[in-house]
Amino acid sequence: MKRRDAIKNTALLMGYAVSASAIAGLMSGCEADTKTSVDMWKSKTMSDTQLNTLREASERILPATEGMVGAKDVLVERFVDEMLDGAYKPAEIDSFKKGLDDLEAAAQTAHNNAFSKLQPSEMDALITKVGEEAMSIEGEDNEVEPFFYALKGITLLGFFTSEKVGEDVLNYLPIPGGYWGDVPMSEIPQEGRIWSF
Amino acid sequence: MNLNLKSKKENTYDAIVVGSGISGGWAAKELCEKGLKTLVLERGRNVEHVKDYPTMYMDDWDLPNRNRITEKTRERQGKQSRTGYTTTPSRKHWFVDDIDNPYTEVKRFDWMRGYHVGGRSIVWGRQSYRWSDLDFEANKKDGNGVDWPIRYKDIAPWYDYVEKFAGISGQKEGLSQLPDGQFLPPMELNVVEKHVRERIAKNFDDRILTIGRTAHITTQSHNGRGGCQFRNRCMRGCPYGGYFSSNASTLPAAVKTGNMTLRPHSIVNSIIYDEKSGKATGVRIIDAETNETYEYFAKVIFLNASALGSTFIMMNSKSKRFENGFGNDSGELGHNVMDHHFQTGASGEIDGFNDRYYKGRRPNGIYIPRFRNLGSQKTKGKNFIRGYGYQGGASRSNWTRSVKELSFGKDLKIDMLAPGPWRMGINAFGECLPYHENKVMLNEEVRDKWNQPTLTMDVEWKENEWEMRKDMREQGVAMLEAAGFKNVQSYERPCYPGLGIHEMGTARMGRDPKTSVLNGFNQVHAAKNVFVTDGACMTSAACVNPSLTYMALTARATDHAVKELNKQNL
Repeated sequence: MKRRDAIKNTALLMGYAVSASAIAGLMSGCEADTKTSVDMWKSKTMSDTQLNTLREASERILPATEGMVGAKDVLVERFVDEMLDGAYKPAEIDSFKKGLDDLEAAAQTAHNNAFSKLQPSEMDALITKVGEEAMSIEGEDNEVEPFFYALKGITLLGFFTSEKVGEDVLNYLPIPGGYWGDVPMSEIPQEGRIWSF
Repeated sequence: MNLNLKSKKENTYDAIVVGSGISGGWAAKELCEKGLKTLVLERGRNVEHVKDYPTMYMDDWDLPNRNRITEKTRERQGKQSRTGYTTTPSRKHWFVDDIDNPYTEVKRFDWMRGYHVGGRSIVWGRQSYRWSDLDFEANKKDGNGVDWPIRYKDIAPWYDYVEKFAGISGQKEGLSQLPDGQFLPPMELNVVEKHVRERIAKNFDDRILTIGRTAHITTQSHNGRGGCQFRNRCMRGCPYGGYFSSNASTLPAAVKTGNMTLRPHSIVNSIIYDEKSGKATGVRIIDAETNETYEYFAKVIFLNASALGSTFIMMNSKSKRFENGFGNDSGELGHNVMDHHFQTGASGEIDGFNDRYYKGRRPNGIYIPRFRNLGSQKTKGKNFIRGYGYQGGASRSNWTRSVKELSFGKDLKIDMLAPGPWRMGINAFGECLPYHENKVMLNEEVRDKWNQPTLTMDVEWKENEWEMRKDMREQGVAMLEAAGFKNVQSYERPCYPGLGIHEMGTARMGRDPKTSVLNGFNQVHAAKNVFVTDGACMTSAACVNPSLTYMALTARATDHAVKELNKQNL
């Protein structure tokens, strides 16, 4: 959340002035989101082709719609890069990158073109195919998650935990101030969307 | 070791408290308020309330990897990561580095530790339940372990006392096995939980569902702390002081007296024992930053370093009088390790409430109190003694429900913006019996960063726990089905001792010095000016979360200590 709001809210709720040291703590606790500018950003883990495939595939999973951002808009591929770089285990990284390579290879075989250059319907057909593969091997003792689940899971995670979606698309209520356990859906803002986190 | 020979007088206090977590904070507050100059020794860094909660206002997108555990963290905090939730970027700084602080496992033991001022009081689960005589009499009745030297009437006024200060929210239910307390207003059950409460009451005349009793302020303010804001980010430290922690509650009270000296980075290595007087005279510490050794002295010493931490200090305090560890005439020191076994229960889905939702993130769930082995034939468990309770809750699912489906595209996106079906899960927490052979031992070979010996754990669940777990699953399914849930499934997830983070019992209280380490006021039988009031003192485990009982036992022991000091008995 915005640090100025955070400080103001604390002071209001506590009913007294927050000390200077507490404010210093708040400031250090809310470091500004220092996103590298578009031009400067470079993937630490993926090739340009893998990145292009990922960007387009994730957009097909959660496309931009009327008045609402999609996976590309919230830079899901950068989040994936961060996760591959820091949070994934080596086997998961290999499997995810191989999945992207396989999608690209399938595009080349079927259409003699890069995945990222295909028509939306062509991309959807190839994604559906890996989805069906995942369903067919589900329940088997897979060392890592089938690629489709990994791709869909990380796209959903990256989208729904992004600042844009978390603050503007979903119902963002950083300091609820209470719990109400029986609220009619008609009273939930934005025609009943889920709460952010 | 480089012994720093400061004048003894300068290093002498009325009381020393080792540790600043839930029980240490209480010892510090009570001793200081009773006028004792008190030195609080904390092995980790200082943590000031609010100022030192770096992640308290961060949203997922402000945190590295959107708050997912990283591989780098797993390298240094492999054991601390075993819970799956303790080492996310928002809270990993509250858990120890496993490389600097090693331990050895004969059998797997998940030892979660927080070495800093406030200890695990910053990250605890906050569930706060009283024990009853069902618990205090259990060992005597079924012959396991040794008899508790106290009964409910001895501790009841101290529960009152600590609850009033700490602030415990809850609903009075009038149950003999789970006594009511001095409650702040209860948090609200949601619409599905209310439905389940009604259906359980209707279908099972021996059971109820109630809202969890939790150490949160549910009024606007309480003893200078702010009310809970229902952010559910408690484990990061609360800027409002909305839940009880040493940092927000007991330590500020101790500071206010002017009697407390807090010394962080102070690893207590051992207790100094004086054979002539038959008393402990102080403690030896290692400064965690400089590795220098210091000695501090006091008339009375409270060990509150966590169950296994205090036990380690006692085991590592060998003298001519105590060759096998401080106060260990009985041979029980380090034995009878207990924890709660959980990670089993049931979950299901329910129709009919899709036009209802909730608002706010309640940092609490439901509680189904113990209904097994209450005395009557009807409540008797099949093939097991003691009992268990359930914690859990109902909620509407979010986008994660769709990951394992083939769907993608615009329709998926629109669907995932709306809350999914209502689901409810109930997770049982069961009592573990005190077994002499479940033990921790001093390991001279494996050394920590400060060249101290370490602990080796040899603890396992036994037949009574495994038999109980069957019933935990069966009854979970039965209650959810009776409440109208569909697709009800039981589950059994891996659960090794330690994971409950309620490790206890390694310096137990008892009536007989031959079979216990502490007496009925938490005094070491053989050195009465040393009190142990953390989880080490527990004679049995009950099935409820133990912290409230540690608070009450600590307040009671400090009262006794000061009375005895005044009578010049210590």
